Amino acid sequence: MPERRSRRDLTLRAGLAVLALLTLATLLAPVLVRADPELALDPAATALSPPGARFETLRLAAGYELAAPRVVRSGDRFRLEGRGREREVPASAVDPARPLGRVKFWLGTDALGRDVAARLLHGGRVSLAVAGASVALSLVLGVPLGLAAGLARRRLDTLLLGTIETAQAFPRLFLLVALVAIVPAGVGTTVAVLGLTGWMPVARLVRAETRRVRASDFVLAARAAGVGRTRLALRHLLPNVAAPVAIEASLAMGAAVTTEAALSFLGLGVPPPVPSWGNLIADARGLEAAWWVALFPGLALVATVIACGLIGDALRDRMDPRRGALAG
Amino acid sequence: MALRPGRFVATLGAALLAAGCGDAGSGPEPAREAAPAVATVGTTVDLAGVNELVSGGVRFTNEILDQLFLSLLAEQPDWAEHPPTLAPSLAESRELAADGRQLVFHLRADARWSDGAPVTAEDVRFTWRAQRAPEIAWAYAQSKEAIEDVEVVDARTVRFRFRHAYPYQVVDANDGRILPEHAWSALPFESWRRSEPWFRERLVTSGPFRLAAWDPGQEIVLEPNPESSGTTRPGLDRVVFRVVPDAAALVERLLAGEIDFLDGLTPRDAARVEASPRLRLAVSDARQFDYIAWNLRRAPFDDPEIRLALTLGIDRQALVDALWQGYARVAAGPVPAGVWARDPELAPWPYDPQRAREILARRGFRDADGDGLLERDGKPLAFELTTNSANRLRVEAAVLIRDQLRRIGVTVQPRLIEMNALGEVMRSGGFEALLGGWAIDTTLDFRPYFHSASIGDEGWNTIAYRNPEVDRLLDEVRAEPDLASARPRLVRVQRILHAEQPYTFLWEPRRLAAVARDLEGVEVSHLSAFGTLARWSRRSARD
Amino acid sequence: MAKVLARRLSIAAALVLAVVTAAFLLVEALPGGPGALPEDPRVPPAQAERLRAAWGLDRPLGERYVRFLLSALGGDWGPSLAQHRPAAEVIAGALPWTLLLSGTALLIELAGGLALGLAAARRPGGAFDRASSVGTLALRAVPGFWLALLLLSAFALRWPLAPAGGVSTPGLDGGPFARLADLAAHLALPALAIGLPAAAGAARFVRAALLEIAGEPFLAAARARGLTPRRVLFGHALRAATAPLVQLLGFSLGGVLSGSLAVEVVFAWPGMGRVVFDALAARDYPVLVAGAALSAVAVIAASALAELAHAALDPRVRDA
Repeated sequence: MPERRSRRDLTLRAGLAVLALLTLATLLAPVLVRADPELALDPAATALSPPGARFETLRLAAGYELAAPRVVRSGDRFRLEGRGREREVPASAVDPARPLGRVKFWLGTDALGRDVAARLLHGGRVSLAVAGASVALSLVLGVPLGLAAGLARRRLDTLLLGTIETAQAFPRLFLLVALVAIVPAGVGTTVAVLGLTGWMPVARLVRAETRRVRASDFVLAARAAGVGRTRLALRHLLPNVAAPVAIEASLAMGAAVTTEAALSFLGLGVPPPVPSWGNLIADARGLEAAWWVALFPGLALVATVIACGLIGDALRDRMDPRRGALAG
Repeated sequence: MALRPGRFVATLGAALLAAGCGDAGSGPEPAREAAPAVATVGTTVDLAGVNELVSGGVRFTNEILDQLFLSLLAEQPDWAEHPPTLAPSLAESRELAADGRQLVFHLRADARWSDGAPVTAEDVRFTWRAQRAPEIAWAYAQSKEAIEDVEVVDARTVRFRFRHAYPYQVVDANDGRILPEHAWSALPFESWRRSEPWFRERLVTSGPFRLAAWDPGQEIVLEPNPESSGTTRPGLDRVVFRVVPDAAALVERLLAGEIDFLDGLTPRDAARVEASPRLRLAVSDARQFDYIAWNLRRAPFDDPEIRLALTLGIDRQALVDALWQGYARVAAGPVPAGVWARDPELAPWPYDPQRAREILARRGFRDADGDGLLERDGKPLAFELTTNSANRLRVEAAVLIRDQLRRIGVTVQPRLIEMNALGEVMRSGGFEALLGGWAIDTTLDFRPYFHSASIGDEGWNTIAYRNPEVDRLLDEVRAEPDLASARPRLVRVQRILHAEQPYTFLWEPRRLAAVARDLEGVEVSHLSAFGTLARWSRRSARD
Repeated sequence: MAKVLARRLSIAAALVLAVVTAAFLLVEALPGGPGALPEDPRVPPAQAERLRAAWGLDRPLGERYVRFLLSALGGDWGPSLAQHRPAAEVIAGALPWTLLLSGTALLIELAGGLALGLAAARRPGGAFDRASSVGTLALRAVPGFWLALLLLSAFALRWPLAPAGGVSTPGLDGGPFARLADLAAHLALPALAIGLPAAAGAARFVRAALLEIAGEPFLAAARARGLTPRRVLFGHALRAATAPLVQLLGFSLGGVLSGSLAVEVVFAWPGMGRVVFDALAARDYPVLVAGAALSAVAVIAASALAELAHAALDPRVRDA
């Protein structure tokens, strides 16, 4: 059915396109937004400004900037006006080279006056990288273990399966929380924690697929032809389990982005001030009036998960063409 | 009334039954009395328990226990001009013997427990025995170290014998609330730490309130103690403490009108409270200062000039403006402004990045490679600033301090650690700089932080600060006959700390509380948020 | 049959023991001592050691482990170090709240998922199917805690239709109906925050399962016999789709005890996630271990149940 295939390809392309777009935007973050995602520009003046807010800035000789809706020069003084407070700075304290500037916050600022747009893009780098790396780690752990269990004789298989089941029965939340408390928080820790608690489904899947493929004719034929165990695993079984693993990986990627965000939201993930989408949403706690702080990182998160889900669904469709229509 | 899961099932069953009988609760209404005067107080933490020796220590629990149990004397929040006074409470008078080693308390004749039994000298002696029992390991057992014995002279007279005389004798003797001997002595001390429910079942109180209900994790209900030993009878019929673990959610419930009193607001919440027509903001001193402690074991923090340069490079007023929105003062030392022993000539160091850079340059720190950051012998001037990851304000402060110090070429890496792990880090001195806060003791005993004898496990001199003069002054403060005469020495200590900057004293926050406008008699002080709970009343209830 | 059951039970018991042991050791490795020390300079760091001794935590690890196992077998999980009452009581106090919240969320998931999935599967590729496909795709991707924040700021603050958190309104005096209504109001937002994304996922699952069955010969036969699409759907397809649904239920049940921590945090819901989170902050070892054990039992029991039900319902599995 060519129509079905084209739709499936469309789904796949849409998913890949969204993911690529998000990745590209975060990679190009320094080009797309000028602001430093971690720098608070005159927080007392700029904190919690809504999207589109503009400020004029005054560069001081001491090497930093003040900001206000309006900066006016009168004689030998600069006056910062607006937002209730007026401040005056003597011209002698101002950087003579380029004293005045302008800044616009496209997506507003957070509670410390940091640029939400800059934090969103730079945070996406961290979130996507953490998710990707953690999925890679769970594949590195899960695939060999699953293969080994699938190929092993009964006793070893029982042992390996027992290990997998214990690890899976252990409440993930508890594991996450405990690991985070033991190892000092950091990007690496978050990757390790997500990977170490996420490999079990991969291992189970690979084991099941391996057992299925092992019993199939072509493997039996290969065995009869005297192909060795390792060679069998690498040349014949691995390619066959690759497709379901790819589906699992794309779905796990979406889950990992969410879990990273949830961890950071609870203060157990990537430590501030490093931005990540979870940290950005966590920053919004108690600032419900400033909707822009939580909304944009949440939307980015949802877009990522949708894209991963689309890719996973499309891959599954491609693998499993046995689908009919109920009313057809 | 609390809705417990068990009760929920029961009420659900009853409701279904009622509906089945076609009689959906249309019975006659009971005759209405005047509506009881109720106030609802919000809290993020639950009551830890009713026995202060095993559960005390957390501020909220202490303040609840203050309403349930009385001490011999009651400390007053009046320490602007002189050390705080200790007003009569269970004891109506006290006298110190001429040799300074015997302190006698006379108990009030009308002091009673809520079951009607009198409060006696036996209760005082029992309390002291429990306070020093190693099986219980009371957190403040140290305060009783100099007490040799507590003797029952008669039912209303009790004598404390001290090993030696010192200025905090009365404070130490008074430390801890008096426990009911007749109700609680049956349980051996070694079982105390695992038997909180046992104490609850046998709870009798001597304070203005009794514990009417406690649904852990949900609410604590206090009602007037009919046998109260105090003279004031509470103006409220019931006080409900709502436990909402999440501070942000708690503020939402406050603004939604579900809560009448909330202590410990952040400055950001304060603005929202001020905008609410139903609430007013109560601002008081907090008896606290936040600081950066420089670990003197590590170069370059062993150099007082470097520490001073770092202080000069931090724009503390800007931090106070951004983080506290005016509800804090820049700190100059460990004694907060407005306290009797504060050095009147002490002013905080100004923000002076120029001078900070000059000092650092004199000490050999230069920007050799032109990247805007300072180095000495090829090593950058960089350090980790450790703080509690759960304290949002301190995390934000660390971020802003990093921005500020970068302006003078110093690299700061915030290091956020979970609370328990932070305790370990402090104990072991495993940090370079630590952003923290101390709630100071009203005796102004600074030996735990700055005396060299407090380096190690018996004190909190986590930065290994050693100054022989400070050691001598702090020891001399303890040898004075009374605290007021120790003032010159406390002033001298403040000046030395100001000059040497073992800490950069950041700010003294104000204590912010939201109070419903129709709630009267509320007085928040540095000692307590609801210390005057017995005098609270509801305007609408009296109309 | 009894032999198989006994084997499964002993495997499950071994799993629980492994989890409990792992939890015990993990908690040992946590930095910081037990019980929160007062943040007070008058309490010296050495007090932590005195407390450990008072708790008996200065005994060797092996001895404590054996003691713990023996008393745990007898139902005594030790005293909570933070709440000074039995750890089992602390867990038991939180469990009903979590079950209530998760149960309601599960209802939303199943009811919503089934209704949407059925409606979408009736005419695959139709307007409704496409709309619901896009909608569920997006909703499924929404993290519960973010949805919780949005629901909170929209329906508790801007348009205050529901309370901002907790489980009851303070000082509410009223009959059982008033209290039941109050509880329902407090339950609504957190249950939706957990249940809605799950319902979207379930809807896609139901639709896919139905469409897969649509290709099976027995349905073609039913259609050939002239049954209306409605009869085909409800009479045959749905019954055949029960097995995957039960499987889905098994997945959801497994996460019931630990799946909703962030939502519990946002809505101050006093459930298991919250209790374990707080116990970790207070280094309350017995509560942590008891909580982990209970979660493990739930996960193991749910997967075993799902397996059994799957076997009982699906003839292809049953007869194999």
